[in-house]
This record gives sequence, structure tokens and C-alpha cells, in this order.
Amino acid sequence: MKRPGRIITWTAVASLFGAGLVLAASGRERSLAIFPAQVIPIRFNHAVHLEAGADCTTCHDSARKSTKAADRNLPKHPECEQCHDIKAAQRGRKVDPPATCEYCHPGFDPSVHRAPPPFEFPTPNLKFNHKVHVDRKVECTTCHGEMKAVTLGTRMQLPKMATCLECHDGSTASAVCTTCHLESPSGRLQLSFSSGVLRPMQGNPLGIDHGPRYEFNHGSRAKTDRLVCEQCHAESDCQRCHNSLQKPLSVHPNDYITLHPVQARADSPRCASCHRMQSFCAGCHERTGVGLNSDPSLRARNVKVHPDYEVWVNTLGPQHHGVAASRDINQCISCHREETCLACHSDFSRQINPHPDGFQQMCKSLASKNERPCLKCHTESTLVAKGCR
Amino acid sequence: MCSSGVRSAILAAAACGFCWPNEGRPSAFIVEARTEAQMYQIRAYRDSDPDHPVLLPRRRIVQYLGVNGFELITGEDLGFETSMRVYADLGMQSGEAAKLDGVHSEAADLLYAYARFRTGPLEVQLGRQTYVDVMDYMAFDGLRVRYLSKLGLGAEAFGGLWVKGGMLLGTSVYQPDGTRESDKRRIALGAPNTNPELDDIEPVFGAKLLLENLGGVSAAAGYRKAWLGGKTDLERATGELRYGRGRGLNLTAGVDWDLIISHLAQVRALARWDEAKFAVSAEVIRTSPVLSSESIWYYFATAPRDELRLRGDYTPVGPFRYYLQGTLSQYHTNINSALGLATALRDQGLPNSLNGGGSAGAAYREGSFRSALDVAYRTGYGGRQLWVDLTGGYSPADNRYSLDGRFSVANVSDGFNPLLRGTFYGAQVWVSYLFAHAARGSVALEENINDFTRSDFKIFFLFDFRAIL
Repeated sequence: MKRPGRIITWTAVASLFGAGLVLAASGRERSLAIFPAQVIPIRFNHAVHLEAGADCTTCHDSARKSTKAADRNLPKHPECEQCHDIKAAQRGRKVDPPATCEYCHPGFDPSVHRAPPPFEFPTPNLKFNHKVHVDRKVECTTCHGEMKAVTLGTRMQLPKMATCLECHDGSTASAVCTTCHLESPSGRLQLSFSSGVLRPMQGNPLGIDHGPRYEFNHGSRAKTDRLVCEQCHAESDCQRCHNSLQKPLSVHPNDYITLHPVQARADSPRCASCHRMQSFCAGCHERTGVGLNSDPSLRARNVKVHPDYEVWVNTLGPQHHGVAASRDINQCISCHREETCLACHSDFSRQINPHPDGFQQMCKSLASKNERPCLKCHTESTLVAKGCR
Repeated sequence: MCSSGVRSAILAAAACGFCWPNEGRPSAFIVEARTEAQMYQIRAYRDSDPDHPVLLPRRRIVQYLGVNGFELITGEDLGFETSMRVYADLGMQSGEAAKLDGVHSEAADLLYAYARFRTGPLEVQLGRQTYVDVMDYMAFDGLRVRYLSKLGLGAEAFGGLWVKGGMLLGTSVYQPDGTRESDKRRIALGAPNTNPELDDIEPVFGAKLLLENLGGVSAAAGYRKAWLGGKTDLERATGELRYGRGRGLNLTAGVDWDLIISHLAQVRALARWDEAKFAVSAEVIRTSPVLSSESIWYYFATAPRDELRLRGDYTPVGPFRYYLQGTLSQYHTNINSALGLATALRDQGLPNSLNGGGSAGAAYREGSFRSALDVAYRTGYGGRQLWVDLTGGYSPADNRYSLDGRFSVANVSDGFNPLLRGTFYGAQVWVSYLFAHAARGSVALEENINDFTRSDFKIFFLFDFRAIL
């Protein structure tokens, strides 16, 4: 194997190994932007409590009247004391069910610590009204899932958006994004939170998953579904790339200026989605001496980017420029100006007709709409002679 | 030019407008600024040979400034959004830009500046604004009105002047392609075949009928026409269709018909099936170049390009997700059968018009760490290319700073340019620091090594400011 091939192979292997090293990380399913990370330093078992006859309202009765997502709706000592005789345990009596501090607050020794380790329950970055849902007879398990097999309730028992959309479908309940999501002052969704950035990911139920390489795959969706895009994005988000003057670091990989011709030949519509060929591309190519129609002081000297002139221009063979131009004019106009083509394809030069089949039938209609481009190659009299006027 | 007295009065009036305590004062102003500076050099072909390249300096700085105001009248959705860009290429030699069409050594662009009012089903936007649909991405100075009833039926209309590079504070990015953005330079030089109409204003009008979310179906039928120098520059009709009801099948499709040459300009359709842990999608796209009817190329090349993309995403519970994508594309060839060249299309040596390839990748995000690996391969028309891109980053919980790295390897073989063959290595390190709640500065360093440019080093500097007042 040649040396560059070996280097590529080892680089790929090392890259895959690097990605594999992080496989040991623990799981996460809920969005951190919506439900920030929690710290719950308590021992609790929902399954045991439900089996013992408790129901949801035994401990979470406040949820029935809760109207804000900031409401915690968690039990405090009075709720626990319905079964756990905390005062008796504090006096040293052995009680059943157990009620010592350490039993529910592992590691807490009241003779040493002033208080048990604090809980951290950041407010979810959502609007939510428990009361409205309870009043509409929505069961707790509809959103929180079946708790009979759950020990400690965590973020994993909070609903995912797909669950919400089972009712919030636009008819049973509102499907407007801001019904649940927080708004920024502009009226669009707030995307940035201290706990993370809200970004449709991982099986997004709207089909707008912004997964890996979304910057290269969002075109069809953005072109036909702009009202959805506008829910989150301002024009500046689009223009960051689509009106870019400078190399966007997240889009073009390293050394892209050197390597871009290879990608441009295979995928010129992608280039055209951000760059105007006759401004951005042709201008830079003329500056660097690649473009043919630049000022004479800037023209190329020693390097050619096409096959030999004889093959490219004079020989009617498979390497002729006409084949390349027919396939992808964007490649031509990223370097050339109209004058290059007019040098041969004009009544005033070699009179080589580059129009595709069928053009003759529609030329009259085209000339009636705008004859200026016709007159770059033809005279009024030749247009008449060809039946285009 | 204003006298200093008039300027003072204007400033005082503006200051009063911002400070006067009254019921109608805005609930929020947002000021956004971004500075991007780039320093490196690019290899030029001119006056050079492969052993003695001429290096052109790039010393570019771009300053973006956005000022936005919302709820200008309490309780009313009335606001404005603006973004302006000032640009300077300090590395460009004196007088060089004057020889190049489309290149500016300094420029000021008003990217958008519009006032928006929304009440119930009605939305009105006035000013410079962008517009995106299946046809293209455009910008115009004018008025857009959209009405969408509760039933989901509605209409949209817009009209104004197309934003062009030759206008004051204009940018050519959205201008129809295929012509110089302006011919002023060549007219001044007395060059032949100039096109003074390129600098004329370009009125544009469009309208669309809308259907939003009727049983999960949305659709639109649109029309757009633009005039340049009294002649039609663009005339199109479009159709858009979407279907989606949560998880499961999602469909989007669009068709763009060119009414000037009675030709299918674009058609695209995307079908996607989403489940909790996976998604599969198929996308077909047919595109033809979108050019101004002022351009001779508009009447030369009408052969379309077809593309098929198949993609699968696997999103297990956990910090990882994976994707696999296959791409097939084809350039069509449309040569006049009366030409001698048409016989060459049957030649065995005709360059392959088909491109095939694919990419695969994994992304990881867990707490403060993030990483992604992408491998992409494509071969066919224009050459062969293999890209391996590994990125990784760390941001602590307080988001005070972030550290990102990117390592990429490309093995390419360009079909036309023999210099572009071989293995190209690049590495990038990006450090970002939050100076204050509203200000973040970033520095990116890039080093590239290959046989073509041997070695080159780039520096990028970014400064972001965002304040809600």
C-alpha cells in the first residue's frame, strides 16, 4: 500500500477509536434544554408505595391545582408522615415503615449535619398547567408513564414531546408551539437556556430532527415548510450561511479553498445555495488568476484547469467543453463571463449554435418577453431570418 | 450632508424616542453585533509555477450589527428587525477590486430591515426582507401581507424592488445569477456588449394561496414575476405540499415551473418516517440553474441535475446517534442534435455523468462534551473524494468558555485539475470565552498540510455581542 493510503487508513481507524472511547457514557433521553439536570439525593420507591395502597394524589395532591411549570408538586414531611412516623423515629423508637432521617436521606446524620443534602429541581423551560390537564381527565400515567415499576422518579418520568402531541394535534388541543414552549421577545421560541440549546433531535415527532449534518440536508424542508422554521429562526440564522462573505467554520472543513473544486463539480447546486456564481465565485477566480475574463494584469499564466485547448475546444469528442457546459453551466459561470462564450457562439464570431433541441419553436415567444440576451449574439435581421422575430 | 445643528436635532429626537416614558414604549430591544476577522493567504495561479506560488493575503473583517425592537405598542405584536453588515478586505492590493466585477474591497450591506405587525390571522411586513420558498431565496424592498384564517385557508402577496448588488446598501447574493451584478465598470471603460439595464431597478411581485394544517395537510400555490428594464426577467409558478401528523410519515414536496421557457426548473420531494429510536428518509431533487433571463446561459443550458438521497438515522437512548446516507446524482446532457458534437455523446470515452457515494457518522453529546465523526465518499463526474472529519468540544456547565477541535483528512482526485490529487490534512482549534453575560470572543487557528500548498496557517477571530435592553 502506498504511504498516503496507509495514512488515510490509520487516520480513519484512529478516528473511529476516538469515537468509541466515549461509548461508556450513561444514557440520556429527555432534552436538557427543556428539563434541566436534577439532583435528587433521596431514597424512594414508587413501586413499593403504590403496592402499599398509595395513589398519586396521596403524595402529589397539589398537582391538581397547580397552574405553573415552576410548581414542584412534591411531597413534604406532612405527606410522608401519613405513614412514616418521623417524630417517633426521632425519639429513637423503631417504627414500621422506617422513618429515620437516614432511611430516606442517605448519608444524612442529624447529629453532624444541619440539613440533608439539598435537592436541585430546576424549573422546566416550559409552560405547563397541571390543573387544566387534570380537569380534562387526563390520567397521570398518560404523561408520566406507568410508575408501578419505577423506584425513584426522575426526569425520565417527564413527558416527551411525542406524548404531548398525541393530544396537542390542533383539534383536541392546541398545536401552536408557544402553547407549551417559552417565547423570546421576538415571539419566536426561546432556544437558548442555561441548561442547553433547544434543538429538535432524537426521533423528533414533527419530522424536523436537526440531526448530524442538518446544515446540508435542510433545504427541501426549509423551502416548503418555512412557517415552521419561522417559529424558531430569525432571518439572521439563515443569513449566517446563505449570505456569507467569510468561510463559515461549521460548514466548510479545513482547507476548503484548496479543495472546493472537487465538491463543486459534483454538487454545484449546493454552492449556488449560498454563493452567486457571477459575483462571489467569478470575482475570486479572476483575482486568483483562474478566471479568463479578468483584467489582463490578473490573468493566469502557467496553470490550466481544463483539458488541453485542442481537446477542450476544437475536437468534437467526449472531452469537448460543450458536454461539460450542457451538464452544468454553474461550473462554467463560476469562472467565465458571457464574453468567453460569445467569442464562438455568436453571429459575430464562429456562429456555433449552442441552443438545445426544440429552442427554435419557442424563440419567438422568448424574444417577445426579453430580446436583449438574443441581441448579444444575433442582430435584429438574423433574428427575423431565423423566425424568432 | 446634514449640518451639525440638524444632526444634533435628529440625535436628540432619537434619544427622546428611546427614553421618553410613556405607555407605548417597547417591551424589548435587542442589540446584536458580530465581528469576524480572518487572516490567511491563498494560493494564486497568476504569474506562478507550482514551485513558486504567488500567495495573496486575506485580511478580511466583517462587522454585523442588528437592532431589533418588539412590542412597540404594549400588547401589540408590532416590532422591527434589522441587520447591517460592513465589510473590508484589508489584504487586497490598492486598485485591484476596481478590476474585478463582484469583488469589493469594502462594502456596506443592509441585509434586512423591516417592520412587522401581526394581529390574529393577519401579518404585515414592510421594508427590506428575505423570502424563501421552493423557487429560491430572495430579498426585496417592499411589502408582504399574509392572511391565514382559523380554518387554515389563506393568501400571501408581496411586491417591491429586488435587492441587487448595484444598489445602495445592496448585496448581490439574492440577485438572479448569470450576469454581472452591475456593468458600471465596463460601461466606464467603454467595453463592447455592455448591459446598462443590469443597474436598473427590478420590480418584483408574488402571490400565494395557502392551506395550513388541514388534517395534517398543508399546501401552497404561488406565482412570481420580476421585470428588468421593462422586460420580464423571471416568471415562475410554484406548488408546495406537506403532510405530517406527528411521529410516523412526514412528506414535503415542491415544484417550480419556469413560465418563460416552459420548463421544469425544480422539483423536490422528501419522505421521512420517524420512530422514537430511528428515522428513515428518501429525497429526490431535480434542479436546473436559476438564471436571469438577461443571461445568454439561460438559453444555452437547460439540462437538469437529478439527485436521490437515502438516509437512516439511529437514535438509541443515550448520548449517541448514528446516521448512514447514500447519495446518487446525475447530470443530464442536452446537446443540439444538429451539431457535430452530438455524435460524441455516443462515444465510449464520455465522462461519467453519474455520481455515487455516501456518508456515515456518529455524534456524541454528554454533559459538557460533544464529538462527531463523519466519513464521506463520492465518485463519478468531476473526480473522486473521500473525507474524514472528526470534531470534538468541551464547554463547562457555566458556559464560560469552550474548546473545540476539528481534524479532517481528504483524499481527492479532481477529474480536471491534476494538481488537485492527493491527501490533504487539516487541523483546527477553536477557543471561545464569555467575557460578560452579553459578550463572547473566539479565536480559531487552522493548519493545513498537503503536497499542493505544502503548509498554510489561518487565523479566525470572532466577537459576539447580544444584549436585551
